[in-house]
Amino acid sequence: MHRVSQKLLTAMVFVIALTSVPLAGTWKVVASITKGADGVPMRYPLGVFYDSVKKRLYIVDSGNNRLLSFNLKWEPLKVFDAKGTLRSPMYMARDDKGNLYVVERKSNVLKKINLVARSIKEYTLVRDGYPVLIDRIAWKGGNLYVLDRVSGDVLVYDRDLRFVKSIVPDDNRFKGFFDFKIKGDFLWGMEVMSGRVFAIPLKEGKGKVITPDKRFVEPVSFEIDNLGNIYILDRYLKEIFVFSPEGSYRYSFSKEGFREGSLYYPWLLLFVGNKLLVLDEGNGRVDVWSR
Amino acid sequence: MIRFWFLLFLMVFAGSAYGEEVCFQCHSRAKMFNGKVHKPVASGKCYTCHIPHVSRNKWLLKKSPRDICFECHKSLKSRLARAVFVHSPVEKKACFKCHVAHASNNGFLLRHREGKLCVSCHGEVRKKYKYVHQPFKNGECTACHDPHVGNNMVFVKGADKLCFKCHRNRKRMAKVHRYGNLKNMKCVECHNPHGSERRFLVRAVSHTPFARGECVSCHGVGKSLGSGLCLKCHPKVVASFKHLHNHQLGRVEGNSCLSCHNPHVGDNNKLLKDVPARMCQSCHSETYKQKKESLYVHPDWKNCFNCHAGHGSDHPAMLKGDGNAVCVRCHETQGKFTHPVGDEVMDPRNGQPITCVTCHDTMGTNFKYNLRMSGEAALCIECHKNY
Repeated sequence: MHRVSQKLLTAMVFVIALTSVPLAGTWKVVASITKGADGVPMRYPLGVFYDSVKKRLYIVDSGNNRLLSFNLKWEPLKVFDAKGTLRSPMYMARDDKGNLYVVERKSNVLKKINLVARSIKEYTLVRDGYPVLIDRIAWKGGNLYVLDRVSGDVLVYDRDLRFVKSIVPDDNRFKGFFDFKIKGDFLWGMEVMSGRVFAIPLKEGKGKVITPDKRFVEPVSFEIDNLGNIYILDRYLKEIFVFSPEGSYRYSFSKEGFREGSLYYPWLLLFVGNKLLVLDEGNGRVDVWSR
Repeated sequence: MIRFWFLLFLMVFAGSAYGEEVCFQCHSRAKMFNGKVHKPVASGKCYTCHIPHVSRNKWLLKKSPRDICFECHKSLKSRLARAVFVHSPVEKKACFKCHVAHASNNGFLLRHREGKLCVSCHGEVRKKYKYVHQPFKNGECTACHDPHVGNNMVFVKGADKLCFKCHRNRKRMAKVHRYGNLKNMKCVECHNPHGSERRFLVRAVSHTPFARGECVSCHGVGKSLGSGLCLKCHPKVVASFKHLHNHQLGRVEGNSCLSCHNPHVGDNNKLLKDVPARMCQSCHSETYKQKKESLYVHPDWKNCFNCHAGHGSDHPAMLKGDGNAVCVRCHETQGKFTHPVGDEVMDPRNGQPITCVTCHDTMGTNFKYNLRMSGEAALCIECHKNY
C-alpha cells in the first residue's frame, strides 16, 4: 500500500511539474511578414489593426508612408498610401461605418479616410484647450479612444470627434498609459515604465490593477490571451514576458537578434485568434508566433 | 618538557614582535610609521597581510590586492553587497587607488588630501564660483559624498535630508521657501551644492515665471495634464515631439518634462537637471550596465545628445539619423569607404538596409571597434555564409 501511494505521489508531482512549467520553446514563429503586395520591404512598421469583420490584417508601414493589408494566411493583399498623402503614419483603426482613421505623427493629425467617397479629412484633437499628442487609437461602440502621449490618459471622443471624457485609473501613483486595448467591456491599459496593467470598465463596475512581479526596462506593449495571461513586450530587453492573470511571472521568450524569431527594437503586440503578432520596427517585419 | 612550553610561548606571544623586528631590518620603519599608521602596521602584525617567504600575490600579500582589505573590513564588504550604486574603484576593489596600506599623513590612510584626491579623477568639478559651499571650498568631499557606496548616482549621503544636518534653522527655511513641509524639499534641484555665481548657491539660470515670482502660472493649474502644462507656453517645442518616437511619457514625475528639466532653476539654458550621462541613466540604467560590462565603448558615450535626440526622433533608439547618417557626421572616412551600406545593400537576415549599427553597437561590446561579435569571423559569417 505504502509503495503504491509513493508511486502515485511521484506521478502526481511529475504531472504537476509538466503542466505548471510552460516552456519558452512552446512558442515558435509560424510566419514572418516582411513585404507588402508590391514586394517592397517594410521599414519601421509601427501600427497594426485587425479587422475581425473582414478578417483582414492592416500594418502601418511608417517608414514607407503606407498601409498594407494581409489575409489570415499572412499573404499580402493591397498597398494603400492615400495617393501619396500619408506622412509618418503610426497607427490606424476602422470605425463601424468602414472609415479608416490614421494617426499621422509628423503633423499630429488624425486622418479620416472614406474609401467609398474617396475623401480624406484631417482632424487635430484638443482637450480643454491643451494639445493632445495623438498616439494609439481604437474604435468601440461609436466612440474613438485615443491615447494622449502628453498626459498619458486615454481620451474618449464621439463620432464627430468631440471630446467626451478621459479615462484614468483611480490611483494616485498612476504615471500614464503607454499602451491600451479594448477587450469586451473593459479598457486595459499598460502603465508607462512600470508595466502595471489596469482594467477599467467602460460602463460601470469595478476595475483592477495587475502588478507584474518583475521589473522592466522599456515596456512598450502588452496583450492578454484567452486565459487572462498577460504578455508584456520589453523593447530594450527584446523579450516578451508572460505573467499569470494575477501578475506572477511565468516565462519569457525571444531574444535580441536579426533573424526570424529574434527581435531588434520591437514595438507592439497583438493577438489575432491564438496567434501572437509582434511588430519589430528594427527588423522591419511582423513575426507571427504560435504554439 | 619545559623547553617545549617555552618555545610555544615564544611562538604565540612573541611572534608579532619578532615579526616586526625581522621585517624592519630591511623595510624602513620611518617610512611606515610616518603620519597615521594602519592598525596592523602599528601593532607590528605585518603577517596580517603579508607572507614572509613566498606568495602568488604582489607584495607577498596573503590574498590578491583586490581581496586582502576585505579580510578585515567586512562591514564594507556587506555594504557593497547591499548597495544600489558602488563607486567605480570600490567596485573594482581597487582600494589602493585612494588608500595606502601602511601610513599616510591624511585621514583614512588616503593617498592624498581628500579634495585633491577626488579631483584627480573628477576633474570636471574643478570650477571657480563666486559663491562657494564651505565643504567644497575646504575640499571636504566626504562631508556630503560617501566614497564607497550610495543610494544615488552621486553618492550623496542621506539624499535630501543631508542638507538639514548643517542647515538647521528649519523655521527660517520654511519661511523663505514659502513651503511648510521641508520633508519633501529637494534642495539640490535649485541650489548647486558646490558653488554658484548667485547668492545662496542658487543655480545660474531661472525659468522666466520663477524669476518673476509668477508661481501661479504653473502651480495649481492643469496639474493633471502632464506636460501639456509646459507645452502650452512652449508651443514651438511641440514640433520636436512630433516624431515616431519621443520622450512624452504622460505623468512620469507628474509631468514628463520634469524628468529632465527643472521647472525653477538650472545650471544651463535648457534647465536640464544634470549632465546627460547621469540624467539619462536615471531611467536608462541598463545602458550604464552594458557600458560597465563592456570592454569597448564609444569614446563619446557620456555625451548622449551627440547621437540621440532628447525630445523625439523618427529612428529607433531615438538616434539623430538612421544608422548611417548619425555615424558619418564624425566618421567621414567610413562614410565614403567602408563595407557597402545603405538602402541598396540588404542584410540577408532581415531584408533591411545595412547600416553602421548592423555590425557595431556603440553602447558597448566586448569586441574591438564596438563590433557586435568577433571581427575575426563570427560577425562576417552571419551574412557571408560561404566565407
